[in-house]
Amino acid sequence: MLTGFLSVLQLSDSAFPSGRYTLSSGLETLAQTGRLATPGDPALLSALLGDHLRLAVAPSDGIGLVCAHRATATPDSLDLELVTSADERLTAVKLSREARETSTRTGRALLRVATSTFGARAVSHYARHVQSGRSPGNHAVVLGVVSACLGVPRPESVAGELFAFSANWVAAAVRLAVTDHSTAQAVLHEVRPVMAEAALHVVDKDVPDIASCTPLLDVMAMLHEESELRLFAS
Amino acid sequence: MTRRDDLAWCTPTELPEELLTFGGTVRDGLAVGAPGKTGVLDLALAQRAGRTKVIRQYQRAPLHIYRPIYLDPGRPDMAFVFLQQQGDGIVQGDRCRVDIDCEPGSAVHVTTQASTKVFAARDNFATQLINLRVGAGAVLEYLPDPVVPFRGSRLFQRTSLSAAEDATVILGEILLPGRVAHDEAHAYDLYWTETEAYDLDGKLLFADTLRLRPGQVGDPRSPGVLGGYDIVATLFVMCSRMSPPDLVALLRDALAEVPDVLAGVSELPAGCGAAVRMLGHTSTAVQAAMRTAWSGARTSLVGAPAPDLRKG
Repeated sequence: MLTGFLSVLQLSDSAFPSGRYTLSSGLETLAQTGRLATPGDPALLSALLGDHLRLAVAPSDGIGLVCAHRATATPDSLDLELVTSADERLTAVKLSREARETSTRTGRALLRVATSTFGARAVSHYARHVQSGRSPGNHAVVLGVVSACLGVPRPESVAGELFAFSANWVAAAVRLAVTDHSTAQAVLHEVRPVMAEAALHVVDKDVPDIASCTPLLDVMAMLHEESELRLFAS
Repeated sequence: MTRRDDLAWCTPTELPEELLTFGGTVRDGLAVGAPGKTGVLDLALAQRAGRTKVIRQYQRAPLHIYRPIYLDPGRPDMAFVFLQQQGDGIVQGDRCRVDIDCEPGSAVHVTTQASTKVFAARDNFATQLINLRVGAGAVLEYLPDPVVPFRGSRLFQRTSLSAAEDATVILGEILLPGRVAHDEAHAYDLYWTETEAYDLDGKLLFADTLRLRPGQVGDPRSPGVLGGYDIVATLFVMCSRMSPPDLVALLRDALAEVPDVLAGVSELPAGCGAAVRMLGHTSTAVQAAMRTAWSGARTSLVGAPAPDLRKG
């Protein structure tokens, strides 16, 4: 059991080479358009991160992840139909181009590392499927397959992903100068119950439940594509 | 067709738990499934002698249409259909279903006569199921007037679109915060709309959800949801004749000078077109911006700018 816990730490580590640190998920546009002051109000940062988690990341990527996890009964067996339908629906609910591109780019990076490092048959099976263009290879879906192979239970897998998203988001906030290191950790601590609740809320959901509803954050993600001066890829 | 008499025929499947919790027995009004509560509108339109005409029409109260009109001098073949709802709006217990089949080569514009009011619900909720099918080379514009959800209203709507690869579809929705003149803003219990687009083989192209629950998870006042704006609108433009990056550039240009709205444009998944998401403070500003985006897309894709719809 402790090895599963250690795998969560490894997969959610900011040093894991999936390229997540290049993403701001619209935060850069919030800062550039003056919607966040420098420094921004910590309560507003927590509320924005909470909306991301509850209304976008958990019900879309989170459910994609749990479906992929469920599709991976053992490290040697994969329900390709289920994992692909989750992968395809996840792409279908990402209405901004950058959101789709960054999700599949980080997904492929994770697949490369996982294939060469973890050696589970289900992972290489799915990697071939993605390489041949039969599945989009979204990061959350790849992570679901990998986590299941590494013996991480579903709730921990989703919670780990929500944490990794949040830790990266507050790190981006520091780089964008909308907060400082210490406040960033306070925000991360503050949203901990939101992560836990959102993870448990989606852990038993299924492919048709994959959805996302954050209109303002969507507009920010779309406007980011037009931005010429940028630090982040989303 | 006895199926149309069936309550299940009119009700979306797999309704969310958050809606079903409102599924009580209607105490002061017509029960769910009663006559007048399961509106049906089933239309097919096809090109006949140079004009798109209604070739199949079945309607049951409270839904109906009048004869289509032809009001666009730039597209004299295009049928303009105005959906009507008897009794002023949507009330609890309503289970309405609209099916619109646009046959290959047809050109159809569907709108409403006025904004759609959703009245307060005490015991139950209302649903609308809208199935749109657009055949090869056909054009469908589905642009209803804004929805006005009253205090305490509960609406679930599912719009399911199936479109041929070379069809042109412009699909829009605008949500107002309520009866602004009564200082009513986002006081409904629940407003939940799902839009799903498929190709003719049933492959999902994109899916979008607007799930708003004031005072709960999904509060429209939350900064990532409407972020202090009152009005949200979405426009989907699907067309294979223009590349998605060009379509995005066209819509961004059209919206660049539009005042008082915050609008984002991006490419839809599966390379099937572009999406516009828009937020604003007034109905006038958002409706004007939506019309500008629609007209810009229409000029390139349908061959004529947005016509005067004569709604007064």
